Amino acid sequence: MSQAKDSFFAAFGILACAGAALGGVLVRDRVETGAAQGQGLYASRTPGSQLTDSQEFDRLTQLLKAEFVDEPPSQQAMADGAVKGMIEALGDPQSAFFTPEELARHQARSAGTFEGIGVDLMLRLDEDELIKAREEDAEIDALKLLPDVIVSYVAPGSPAEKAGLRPGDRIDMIGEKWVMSAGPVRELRELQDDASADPTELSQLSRRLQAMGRTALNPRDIRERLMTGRQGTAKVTWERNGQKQSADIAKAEAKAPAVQKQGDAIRLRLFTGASTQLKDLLKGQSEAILDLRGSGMGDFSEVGPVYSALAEGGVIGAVDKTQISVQDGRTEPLRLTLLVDDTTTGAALALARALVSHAGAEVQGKLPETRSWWLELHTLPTGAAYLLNHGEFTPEVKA
Amino acid sequence: MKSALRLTVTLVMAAVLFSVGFSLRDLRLGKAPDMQAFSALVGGEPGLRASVVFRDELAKIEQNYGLKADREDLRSAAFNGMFSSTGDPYTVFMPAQVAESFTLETRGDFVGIGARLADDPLGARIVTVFKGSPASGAGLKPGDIISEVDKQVLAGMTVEDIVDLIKGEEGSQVSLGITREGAAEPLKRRITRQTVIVPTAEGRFLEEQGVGYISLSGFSETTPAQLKQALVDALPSGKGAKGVVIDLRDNPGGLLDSAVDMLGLFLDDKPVVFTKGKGLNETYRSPKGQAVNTPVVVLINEGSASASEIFAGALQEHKRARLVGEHTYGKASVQTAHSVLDGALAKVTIARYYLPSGANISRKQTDDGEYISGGIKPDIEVGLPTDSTALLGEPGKDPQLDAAIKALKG
Repeated sequence: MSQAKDSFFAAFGILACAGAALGGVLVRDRVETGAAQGQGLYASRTPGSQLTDSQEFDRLTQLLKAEFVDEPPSQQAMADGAVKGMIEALGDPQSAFFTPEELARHQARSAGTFEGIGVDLMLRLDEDELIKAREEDAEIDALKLLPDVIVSYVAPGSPAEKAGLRPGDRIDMIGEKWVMSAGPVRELRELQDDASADPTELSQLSRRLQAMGRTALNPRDIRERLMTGRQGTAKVTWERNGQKQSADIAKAEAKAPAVQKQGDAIRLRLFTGASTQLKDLLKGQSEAILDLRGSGMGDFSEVGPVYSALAEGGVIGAVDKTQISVQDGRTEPLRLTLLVDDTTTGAALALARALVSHAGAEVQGKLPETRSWWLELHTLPTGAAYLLNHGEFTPEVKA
Repeated sequence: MKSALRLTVTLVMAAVLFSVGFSLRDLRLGKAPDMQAFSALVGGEPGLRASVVFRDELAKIEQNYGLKADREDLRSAAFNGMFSSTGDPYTVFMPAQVAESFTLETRGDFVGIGARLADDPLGARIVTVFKGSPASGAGLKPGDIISEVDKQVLAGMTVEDIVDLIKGEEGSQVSLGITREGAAEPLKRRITRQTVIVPTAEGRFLEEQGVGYISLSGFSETTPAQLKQALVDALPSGKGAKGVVIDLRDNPGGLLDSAVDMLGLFLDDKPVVFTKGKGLNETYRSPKGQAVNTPVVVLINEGSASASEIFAGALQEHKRARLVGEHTYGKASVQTAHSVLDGALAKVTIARYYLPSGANISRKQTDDGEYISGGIKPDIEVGLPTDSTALLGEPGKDPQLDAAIKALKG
């Protein structure tokens, strides 16, 4: 064998090995940060330069792996933790993070099966304050962003219904614990603004608020306390028109139909699958009365299909700049009357507004003056999910 | 034949070096190669990576969320959320803004008016006024409520935000509106900001009872020196003091090294705490040749945590002091703070600590944070009346202090 061939092999060998080692380093980056980050991947290795979001995240996970006293969390747990952190940081009463178990319960509720005492709850707060806080980055009053916990739906036949809970009631206490609420804070504010206010009353109220704060439940924990489990009881105190009432309410499973005929009217809940049942029921009809009171949150992905069972298709509205349109609308005309009030919320409220503006539906009762937030469910590869507020739904006005 | 062999050797070498390169990141940190990364490489199907989920969802939230969301806030919240997936409440990510005040706290000085504040619906309630501080010069008193800063009404604001308003450049002025019980009108005060050393150890001699009293409110870098001075103040010569009460109630802790240094004033070269963690198994001994032999009683409660528990626990186990009050919090872990990403801090629990006897005092609590077990038990258990008539640190109005004085004299 010739000398030249030998040195060729040696050079090839060295090059191949060096190339392999370098390749290893680069491939690792690609594996860890995902292919979509390809551009700018290598430049960001230099110290002092901008790291990409996922590289910063990886650096912190490496720090945990190297230093944390116990076994570091799994990639799945860290992913869920990160997303949960972001959703909670929004401070948005409509948006929520769900673990896989919570997601299963959420989906069951959206389909009409309720655990716990048999209610759906919503967090209600001063929306103008929320928007001010978000849009203007203004000095805002943190206490004013404290939501009230409101019953938005009571499943028929559920323990909650038997105990007398109604949509619109405000949950005041669970067991002996206060549910943080904006009411007393507003009271304090008004008293402070009133120059002639009695100082004793003022200090009493402020002391009561402090005492409440010490034992209070976080409004976001309350859903879990009242909306999970099929056994045991929960002692609930609620408020309606300034009157408080309390009862021990059993936990059990309650199933509610999406569509139910009640005399001349149809009680409609926007549960998953509502549109199919509604289509069957309205076949050949020329008029319908829909009862949308005490509607609960419902499933926003039903708004379109239900609308198409009731009226002509087309663009029915927009969320932010995204149009919401309905295909395969109803071809035969249908005279619609909607029964609504303050307890028409969630998906049902968006539907009602679209039907009024775009399909000429008549309204009996008064629609609430609140905004219709449009919520969508996003699932994660970990099996968890989150409900995200996509913004205000504004109905399209038919020319 | 020979060249085929060489080729094989070269290929094997290349494969080995590829693996070394691939794992370089782990090897440099002194760890075994990350098998998950390997399987992601070999399997073709990449394993679930938290950073990728984070990146994708951050983009989705930014794009879809209907109101304005601050990208920096979302990132910090994600990092902190990832840290909290450890299940350890002390492993946290602090964005730069929060990190700044944390650093000030451990350093023990800042520019301000020199008062410790607590939440109040009307603004911020003054808990302590530091000796010799601008606040004390302006006649502010504990119990006063700061309800206005530079004409801004504070009702409903958090104490952190209020503190931010009050702090400022050294020598600049801030005007405060003070609501004081019994005063018809809010008082107005103009105060010049100065560098304030946060007093974390203050001593005085209780003439009538004939004992010294030291309140320890933290364990910062400056606390060991302050404690030496406090001992002098609490035990004036020629007064025949029968001992000293050290008040650790509601002391949330601080620096481990400060606690160990301070124990040297009472324990001569004794093991006081040991830590166990990744590469951090260490026994700490109190310094030599500084100890005094004055009798000591230590006041503790559920607000005494971390370095406070090391301090009280070591004195109790070496029978150097009796503990009076209620059980302590039960925080038995040590954190280090890493500076990361433009001024942010990553605080990570790196070790647990154990008292010299080996006792682990970790807290167990309900989901609501209510105490089940853990912490250090007092030798003499004394509670406080719940109607908040007690005035901490005032003999005759503080049943726990009274019991401590009795223990010293008895």
